[in-house]
Amino acid sequence: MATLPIIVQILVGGLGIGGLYALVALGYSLLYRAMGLVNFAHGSIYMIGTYFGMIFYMGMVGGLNLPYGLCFVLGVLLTGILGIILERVFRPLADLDLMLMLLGTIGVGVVIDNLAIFIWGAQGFAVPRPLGGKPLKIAGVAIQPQMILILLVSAVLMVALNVFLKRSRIGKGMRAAAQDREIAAAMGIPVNLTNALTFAIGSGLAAAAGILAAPIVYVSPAMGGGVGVKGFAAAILGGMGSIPGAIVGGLLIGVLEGYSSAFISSEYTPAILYAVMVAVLMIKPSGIVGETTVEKV
Amino acid sequence: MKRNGYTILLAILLIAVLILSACSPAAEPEAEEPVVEEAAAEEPAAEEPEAEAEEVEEEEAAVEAEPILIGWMGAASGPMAMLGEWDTRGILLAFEEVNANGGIAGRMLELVEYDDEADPTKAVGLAEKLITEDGVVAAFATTNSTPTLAVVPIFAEYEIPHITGGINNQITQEGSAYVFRDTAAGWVYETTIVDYVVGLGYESYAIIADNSAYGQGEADAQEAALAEHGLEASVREIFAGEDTDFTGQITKIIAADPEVLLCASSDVACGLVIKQARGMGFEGLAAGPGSLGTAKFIEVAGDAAEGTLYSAPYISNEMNDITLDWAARYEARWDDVAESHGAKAYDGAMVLIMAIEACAPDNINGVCIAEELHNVCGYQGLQGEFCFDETGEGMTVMNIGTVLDGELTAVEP
Amino acid sequence: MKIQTNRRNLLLTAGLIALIAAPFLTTNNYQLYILNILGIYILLNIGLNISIGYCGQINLAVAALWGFGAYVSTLLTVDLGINFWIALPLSGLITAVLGGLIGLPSLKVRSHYLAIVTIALAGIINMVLVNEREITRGAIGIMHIPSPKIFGFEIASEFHYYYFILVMTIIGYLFARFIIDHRIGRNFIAVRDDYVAAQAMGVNTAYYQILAFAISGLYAGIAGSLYAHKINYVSPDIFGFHSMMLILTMTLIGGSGNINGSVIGAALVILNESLREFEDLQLVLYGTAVVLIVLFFPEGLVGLFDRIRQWLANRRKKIPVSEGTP
Repeated sequence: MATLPIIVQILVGGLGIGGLYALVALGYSLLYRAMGLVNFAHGSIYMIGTYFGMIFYMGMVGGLNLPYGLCFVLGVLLTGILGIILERVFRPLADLDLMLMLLGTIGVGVVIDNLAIFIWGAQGFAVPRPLGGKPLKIAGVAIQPQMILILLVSAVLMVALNVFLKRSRIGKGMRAAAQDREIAAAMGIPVNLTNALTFAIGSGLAAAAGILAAPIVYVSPAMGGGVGVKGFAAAILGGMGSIPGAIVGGLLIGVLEGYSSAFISSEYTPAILYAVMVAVLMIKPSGIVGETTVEKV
Repeated sequence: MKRNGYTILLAILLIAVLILSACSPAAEPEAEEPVVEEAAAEEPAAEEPEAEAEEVEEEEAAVEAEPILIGWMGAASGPMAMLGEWDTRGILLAFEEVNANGGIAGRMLELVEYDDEADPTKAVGLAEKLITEDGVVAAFATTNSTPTLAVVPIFAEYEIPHITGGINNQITQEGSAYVFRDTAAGWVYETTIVDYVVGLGYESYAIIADNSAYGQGEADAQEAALAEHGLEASVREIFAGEDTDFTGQITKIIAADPEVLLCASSDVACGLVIKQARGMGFEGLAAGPGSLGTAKFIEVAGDAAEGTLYSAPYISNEMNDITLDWAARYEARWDDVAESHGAKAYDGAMVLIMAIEACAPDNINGVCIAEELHNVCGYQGLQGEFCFDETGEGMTVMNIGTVLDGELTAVEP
Repeated sequence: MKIQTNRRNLLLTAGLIALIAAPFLTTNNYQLYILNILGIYILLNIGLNISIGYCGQINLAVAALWGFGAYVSTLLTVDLGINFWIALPLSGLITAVLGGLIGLPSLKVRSHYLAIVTIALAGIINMVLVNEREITRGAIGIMHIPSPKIFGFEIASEFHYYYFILVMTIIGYLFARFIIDHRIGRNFIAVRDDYVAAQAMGVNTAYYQILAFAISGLYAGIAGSLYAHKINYVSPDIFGFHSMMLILTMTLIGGSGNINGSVIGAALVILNESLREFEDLQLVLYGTAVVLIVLFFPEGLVGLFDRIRQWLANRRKKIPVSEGTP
């Protein structure tokens, strides 16, 4: 069974899903880096971001049936705005002890989840594939067009993020604020603004991931749970707060998931993932790429 | 530290106050109050803008003779929330129709609903609440298998009959004379579809199931049904409940090259499985139990659903005149297309109503209702004929359907 | 032994009488059931509190340990025919050992890393319970778990079980008190507050970290056994992440780092019940309440009570004789 086409197919699928995990993980790491905040509501943001985009695609807002690309942009923007609003709510939480922060952010997550149920119902809906269902045959491997879209878009977003953080003025300001809040403030960088922007970007990335995933999964208020945990695990695995770490972590988990499911045991795959993660952290407690200083409680 | 005594006492008092305030003031086993929901709240109940029908019913019931209280517990929130919604819609439709005709012996039927979140711990508590605090004479409990298993002994102990939508086989094997199914057991679904597919001449099979109680139970039943024909599934792939990517499992399935893929999971999950399987080049037959015979399955699987075979007692709204009529009434009431879960809940409500009518007017209690439910035989419900045996199974026959041109269609056997 | 009739002892006695009389104040079995579940959650909260609150070791595997203990007790009694009264402490001990093992990663990682590690290990335990169907019967769970029998008398009804759980909860509370008030507790706090300084003072921090995990395992195991033989049914989905979040919420809102907080936090269970009336918005309100409490009462309800006490004490001091009564 372990033929080359199959190995490649699983690799491609794993990278695709992994790319989505990476986008979600970036949200966790960006936020942690900037505000010291572990945001357990991120999975819910992923979900609501998907809704924000897909309700326009599915004609759920005044019968409007907008093209997928436009819905993507709209969803990401709306979620970014939500992120800015949420930053205000989360600001006091960032200073709290980890467990209280966890609880507080989960509380926000519960509110978001149930508001979604309240507005759109618990059922959820399926999303038709914008590029059609026929798989493309590339070198003997059948690949879904949507998967190619996912790979391309997530790669573009990751590169864009890197460029933004390293080259643009705002990006550099954000990095400075993340590194040392006080000095940055003293140098005239508006820390609250950069935090809000960070939250917006992190949330927007999660929305992007969800909207890309929507045609191949199922959109419902519960869709954020599994991805939220895996994204968090990916961020930790790569090193919490590290941007390249989040990407590496996400891709690794995606690929590992695929191979483990195909070649080891599909029923124990989650356990295998967990075990690998624990093992990696025991060897390198700060994560694969991560910073070498680990916060000691 | 000196503070301990104070704090402990405060803790105890707090608990005592909360207990006493969280309960109904007139908590006799046979609750006489018609307006149960309001009595049970110590805060002013915020009436939802989209108040459920039964709350309107309460206001009316308060004016007339004391209502017949029927309990309902099931998943009304979380990922399973639509099960609860479908279920209550079917039941309330039946209740409202009966109430519009004067109720039973002049008494109105009233549904007392609680959300158990598909959690056995909550279910046990709510069962006790319905029975000992609200004083229901019968109940619908519950929509999912594991909470049902947890409450079977409780309803049996208090001699209150309960109707369940849970399919797991064990539910009726526990020796309770008070549990009844509103549809067929899981093994009936599986033997029906497997017998049919084997009859078509297929010989190589693969099974894919989730690791929930439903998935494990149904996959077991599928294997047992195949074994009856001397056949065996070459692979049995498993996935976790919330998984949405099945590349790994499907890879192994395609490698085994089966003619038939049997799916044992929810409509959404099986829909995704079939969609992805077709996308990866699987061209064999897809088959499974009733979850593959729903509009949701077709919605999720899209074109890939075409040709799927499924077994279900309720194939589609267009099955016959009775179902067409019912579907029209359902749509008029709920402004939504009727579907199979509602149909089975409606059947459950109807047999319950029959049993209560047989006990009216003097014997409307758990023992009598349970007895009369066991006597139900030959009743033609939406799903087919009901005849309860002593374990609480009422249906042993069902139909085959297929997805034809994107529509749920019956197959002539 | 001199028995002082001071305020503290009077309050304790009053409290004890209230606890013993509580079942007679209830009017139906549902309320008793809530009290019984309350007792079990108190034990779980105490276990979690000792680990997180007192020793600073984040242990998000407590719910999975609870499930493990429940299954151990179940399999011992149902499959091996072992007497409940042996299965109960045995479950506690075996789960304590597993708890200690789960604590090993804490020697290398901290904070949110430890959080995800314990979540991961909990996930593994859950998967084993679901997948190893030969032993655990899988997702459908195990029914007809026997109720405890003492001298031929079966402790099955809510009423009788209440006293059993009451005794266990009191023992659990006193044991926790004992640990906290003596050397082990002091060392736990030292590890939590300043890990490096503790080491410098010669405290074997590794030992105490593992011990904290093991103790939370002990409580979870006992709670699991009490649960299984009360409900007479176990299934893996009872002990999942949502349960962990509930226990965590109860512990933190009651007041972390304070045993009494574990008791008060369990009262949250009841509060949740009384919010049922609001249906759809119930969870939205619940989530909002949690956030507000976290923001404004981070020391939990215990902290709130202490503040009120302080305020009352201050008021009493301020009133001169000539003024009216407060």
